[in-house]
Amino acid sequence: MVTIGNTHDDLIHDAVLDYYGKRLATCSSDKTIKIFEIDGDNHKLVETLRGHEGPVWQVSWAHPKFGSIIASASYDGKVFIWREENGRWTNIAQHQHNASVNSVVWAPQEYGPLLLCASSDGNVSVVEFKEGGNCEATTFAAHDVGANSASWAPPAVSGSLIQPINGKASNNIRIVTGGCDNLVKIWKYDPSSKTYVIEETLSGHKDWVRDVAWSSSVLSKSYIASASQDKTVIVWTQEGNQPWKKKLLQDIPFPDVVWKVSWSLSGNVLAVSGGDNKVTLWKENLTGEWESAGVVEE
Amino acid sequence: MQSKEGQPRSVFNSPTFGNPLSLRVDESVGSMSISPSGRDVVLASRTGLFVVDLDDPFTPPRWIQHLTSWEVADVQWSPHAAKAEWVISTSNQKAMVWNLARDSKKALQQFLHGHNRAITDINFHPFEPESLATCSVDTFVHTWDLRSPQKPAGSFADWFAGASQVKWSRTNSNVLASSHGRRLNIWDKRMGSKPMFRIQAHQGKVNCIDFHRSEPYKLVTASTDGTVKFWNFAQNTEGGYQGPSEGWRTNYSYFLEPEITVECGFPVSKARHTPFGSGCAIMPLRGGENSVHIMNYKDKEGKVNMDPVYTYRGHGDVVREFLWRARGGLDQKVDDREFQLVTWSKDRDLRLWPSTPGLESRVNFVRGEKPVPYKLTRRGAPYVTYTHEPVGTDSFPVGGVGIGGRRSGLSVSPSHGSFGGNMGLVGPAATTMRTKVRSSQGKRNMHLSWLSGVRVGAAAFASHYGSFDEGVGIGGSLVPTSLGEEVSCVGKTFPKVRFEKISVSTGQVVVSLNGQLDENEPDKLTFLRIIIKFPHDYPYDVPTYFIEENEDLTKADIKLIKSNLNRISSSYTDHGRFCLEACLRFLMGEFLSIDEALYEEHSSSDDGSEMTDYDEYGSHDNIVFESDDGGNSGAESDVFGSSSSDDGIMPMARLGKNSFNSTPIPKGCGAVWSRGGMLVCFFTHRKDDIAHTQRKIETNMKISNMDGSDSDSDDSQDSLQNAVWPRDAKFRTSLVPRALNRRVRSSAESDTQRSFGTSPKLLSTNIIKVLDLRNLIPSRKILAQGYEILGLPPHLLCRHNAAVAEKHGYEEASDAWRILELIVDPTEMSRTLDTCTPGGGGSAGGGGSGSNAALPSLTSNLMGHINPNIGQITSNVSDGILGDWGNHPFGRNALVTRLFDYFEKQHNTQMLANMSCVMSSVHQQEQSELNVPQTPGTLSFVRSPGFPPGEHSTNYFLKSPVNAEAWDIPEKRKKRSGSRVIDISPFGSQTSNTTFGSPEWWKRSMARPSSRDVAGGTLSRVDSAFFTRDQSYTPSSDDNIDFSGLFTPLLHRQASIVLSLAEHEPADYPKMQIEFFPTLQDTSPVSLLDPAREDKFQSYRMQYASILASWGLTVESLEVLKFNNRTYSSLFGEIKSAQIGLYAKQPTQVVSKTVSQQPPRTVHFKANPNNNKECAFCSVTVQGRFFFCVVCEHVTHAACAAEWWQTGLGQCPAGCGCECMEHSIASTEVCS
Repeated sequence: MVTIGNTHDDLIHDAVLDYYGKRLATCSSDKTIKIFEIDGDNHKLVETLRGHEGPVWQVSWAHPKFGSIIASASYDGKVFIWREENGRWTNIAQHQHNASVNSVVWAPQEYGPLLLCASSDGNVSVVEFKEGGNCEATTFAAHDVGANSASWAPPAVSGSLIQPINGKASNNIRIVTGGCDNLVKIWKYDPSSKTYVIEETLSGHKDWVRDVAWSSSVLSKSYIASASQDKTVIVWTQEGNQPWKKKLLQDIPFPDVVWKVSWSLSGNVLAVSGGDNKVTLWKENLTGEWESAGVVEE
Repeated sequence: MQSKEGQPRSVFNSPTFGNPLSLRVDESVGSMSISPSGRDVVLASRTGLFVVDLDDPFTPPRWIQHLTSWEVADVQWSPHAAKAEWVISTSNQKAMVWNLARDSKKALQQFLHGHNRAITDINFHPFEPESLATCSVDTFVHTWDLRSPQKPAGSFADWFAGASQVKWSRTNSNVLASSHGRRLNIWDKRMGSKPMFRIQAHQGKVNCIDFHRSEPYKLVTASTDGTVKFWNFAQNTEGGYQGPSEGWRTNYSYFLEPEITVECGFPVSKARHTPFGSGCAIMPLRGGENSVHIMNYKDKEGKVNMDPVYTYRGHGDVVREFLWRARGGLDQKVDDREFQLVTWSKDRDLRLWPSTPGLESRVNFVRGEKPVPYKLTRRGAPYVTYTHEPVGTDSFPVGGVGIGGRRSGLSVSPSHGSFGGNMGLVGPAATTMRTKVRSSQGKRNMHLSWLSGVRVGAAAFASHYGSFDEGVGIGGSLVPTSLGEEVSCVGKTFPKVRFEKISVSTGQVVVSLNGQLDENEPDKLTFLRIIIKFPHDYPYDVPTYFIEENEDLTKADIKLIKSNLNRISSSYTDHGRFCLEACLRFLMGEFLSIDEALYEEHSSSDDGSEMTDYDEYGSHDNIVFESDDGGNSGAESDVFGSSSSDDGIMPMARLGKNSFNSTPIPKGCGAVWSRGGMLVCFFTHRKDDIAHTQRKIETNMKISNMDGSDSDSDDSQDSLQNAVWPRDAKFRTSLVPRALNRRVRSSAESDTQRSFGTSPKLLSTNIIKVLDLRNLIPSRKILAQGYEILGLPPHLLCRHNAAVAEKHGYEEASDAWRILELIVDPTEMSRTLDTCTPGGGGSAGGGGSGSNAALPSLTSNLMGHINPNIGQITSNVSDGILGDWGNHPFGRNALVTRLFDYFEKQHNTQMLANMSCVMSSVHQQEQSELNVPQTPGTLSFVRSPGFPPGEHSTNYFLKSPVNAEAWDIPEKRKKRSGSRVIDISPFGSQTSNTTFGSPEWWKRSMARPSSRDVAGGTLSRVDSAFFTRDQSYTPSSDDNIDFSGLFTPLLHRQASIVLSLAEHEPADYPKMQIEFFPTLQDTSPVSLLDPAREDKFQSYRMQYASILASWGLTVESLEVLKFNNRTYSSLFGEIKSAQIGLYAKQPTQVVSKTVSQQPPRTVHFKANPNNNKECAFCSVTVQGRFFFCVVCEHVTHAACAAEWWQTGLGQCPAGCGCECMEHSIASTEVCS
């Protein structure tokens, strides 16, 4: 287990390992992003990326097939894309919102280089990076007061073999967003209007939804977890085409607001973290109930 | 900023002495001066005079209007206690004498007009309260007696250069000095015709003169040439200077050398002796880090570099004026004075700097020892403030707006403009605005904008607008740290709320608004006026509310409102948070639902909805403070979202006017899974130990106590060197330190320790942990490395996998594999069944009695899962049938399904994918190999070993050689007819070559059995004489045959068999075998995997493959993917996979390569033994990688081709003349 302390001068808001688990990117209120190399128990700071003018809220690694690429979202409304070339990181692209960009996440690699951004101006945008370096963004209004988080659905295998990808498999791209209107919304890409249309609205939270995560295991059920400032986490499940079912992760509310939820890539273990500075892990048992699988404290 | 009530105000209990304070004055102020008592500061600008009460900075300054178009060159407050109310300012060539004790309209007492050109400097006489000197561009220096102001008392002229500075000697009341250009003139007023000394002082313009306060012969000058020179006329031997009692001798000494020349490195605007010790304060004209440097000139000689012992850094722009605010020294014999530097800078900030304890020692000032070295003129000055209009005139405490005092003829423009207008709004784009309308709105704006510019304590020196280039974070003033700030924030947020009175010092605020009382009537607005009294300890103490009665409010209403307000405010103050905004929102937001309140920009009480639920006032937190309850988590307890409104606070966020900032509180703790099962967690490590932070404050920031004791000055020399302000300590960027700031304050007494935050390093240490939690993930890398899914017969695979799982301790997986082993191996079936019968073996869970491979004892879950099934075993299983488990409960329908369900519930993708791989290859393996010679036209039976003869003989049939019609079955596509698989025993790698007449049934025969869904197909008896073909054969006219199954040898063989059947004469049968194994029941061989769920299996495999890839096990990943890419013809439309092959036909036939999705006209390659392709280069049969020319159809080994074509010849090595390189296709791989 690696412990890295005190790297940033200020609060850290995100820490993500890359695809291979060898490098860690962290971002902080000190407006920088730091990249570490993790090897067993050792860590080493490789680079500090500067350029943001406000706290950086989230970073996301792209699939290695696109190169060594990180996207970062900051309070200053900008999303920066950084790429490593020959060991040096440079900022290769930018995308701007009108207000703080709260979350940024790359799409599953099957869809190509798509980046999903959720911003406090209420909009969610999907930026597509095309050949030749330019990017095209599809922006749509998601949540009234502000959109706090967005996540991709895993590429579905539904009935037919995987569509060959020439660009993107445009049918069946779905995303889930959570925002300040206490709602979780599921959107589907509509190729005819070339934007995302709402497919489902899930309500159940009593306060701002801070994080949504769509589990990437494609088993019989789809799982979405949503974390909210009302101190609850709700797991929404859908089997097939049935309506989404809501299930509270824990019947009693959490001790403090919940900020982040993250599904493990396989095994569907949910990591929940919040204001109480603890990380709790949850697994679904055989009867469909969620039980705690561990707690991690600082 | 509330004074201790009950005590008379004096400078000794001034809340601001020694503490940092920053005031924003948005005027083009030219000059500044301080009152003798040290209470007020006057700033002179083109619009008039502003008198600021330093003890009560929240009160807006008094404005005495005097509009001029001339920059005010100087303003001086009389330093004499007797004339403590006089201020003199310049207005072009006149000097205005103001009496602040008078009403603003009549403040101008007299003016002094004696110069012809603009006055550049004024200086009061140090001893005579009524005398002063002025100097002007007209090269004259006039001395005045205010008792007869009509004409100067004395005049001195240099004639050549305009005067820039004039100073009286502090020791000799007859001597004054003036600077003209580069010259310095020392005058004795008794002899006015020529100066005593005229010295070419500098290489550049002399900007400042200052006499020494106690030594009569010394003075210091500063110049734009970057030097500060200390002069001592006592050393002037030429003139034979005698001493003050004898007067100064006349001497023209043009080339006097200064005692000390200090090189500063920047043009110096002011250099003055410090009132204490042997220091000199140096202020640059430009550059110099925009700070004031203090240097010690004692014991220095000759040319020295400016080596400041202290620097007051922090201004954003060059400092224009500085002065010392002093106190103490009441007793001449004991010098116990303390000083505070007050600076005015071009960045429009008036700053009071905190005490700097080590400074005095560095300038050799020891307090309390010696007598005061000079006479203090300020002694006895009353400690009053002149910021209020004198009593007796119409005035209101909220910023005494004076219409402006002027005499006719002096003022330039008629008076109007509200104070607020001239104050300007605080904002980056603010410029002085003159509004022509003076309204209550304007007054309120004025007061609010003033309030927002006031920063006390730590916040004092942070940049106001969060300009990023200064490294300060966003939203500098988002969070109120004091009542004043809060009021100003709130005032901006709620434009419709009128603050009728704001008195920060007494803590009283009167607000009036139109609120909606009745939830059912949204349009009915009631006027409310509330008097709020904030206690000293606010925000830790609850404010009191007094609601004025009016006709619209019933007593009950009042009571209700009051109780609600109390409730809200107490809940906030319990956490130490400011509640004014929440209360106001409540008053108006009482009428808004929480959600709507979020949308409300103007908090106008127009929309109404139901009364907010008081239990949800916690979510007021969200509106107001964007946080949760619990003051312990500091990050949230600040106003982050709602109250910030205008662009001034977030300049770069292009929000619409007053848009609601809904950025949520940033998270300090989180966890993200990595692909490989590692969990990255980050936490914020907060030091909540207040005592600890307190200590740290002292060491880091060196706040001295108010009582003036020297605090620990020994350590951190560096911190003294540079009074670097907290501005650099980016605590403004994050909200946590602010909260801690307040928390720290709560522990400190309100008056004394003004802690302004600790360095962020203490507050937000953060910890990142990367945990290996792969044990939570059922898929294991070790197992993945060990598992095999190809290459062996399925049961052996299962056995192997079971062993691997067991070796690593995963019993469940191991058990599952063993079960699978049993059911994939039909030879075992009988035994298995034996052991599994309800009668024998006591059900599967019992652990069979069979000698070998009894069903393993299952782990409990697995058992529980599967158990129910076992009972379904019917009795007739015990006849030891062998064969296909297909429809058997142990087969697809039940056991397998159950297994899959079980592992799905566990989310064990690894098991799911592996099982699906292994089981899908079950029927690839032939069960037996027989070589059976055939005779044409007959059906021969083949019996697989292990079947008891006879009994099942009827169940076999064999494929007859054949009429071609028999092979025409292709047309039939019966889905679920009894069809069966033709499994053909391995032949070795032979396949017949051929032309195949009907490609369709290549396909068919190729089509793999796993997609078969033959439920209930009966195995027709022998007499059917042929077997219906698998309906899964899709007839299609296209020649798609999928060779992705190439890796399975069986396909070839099968194909070849079929072909050979078709092709050759029956008599020529090569060994041919066919195989079947129906079960006794009518099931025909059925795959263990339900094709209907095929897509699921596909997705399992896909997911698992991606997991493997991210573990780095790419080979295994591809193996798994291979299973995915087989075509399952019927259920899946077009077969999409790369199909490349050779169509071994006559060379003239056109062949083409197919890639997926193109209309296939594929070429099919079969490695057929009878038509071995020999390498065109080396004539060896081609196996493995080869190069094939589409045109000439010659095959070469890849290596041979490389060798051949490396030489550059483009032609085919076979010698056919074809330019192969031009038609090259990719080589492909053939399994043989």
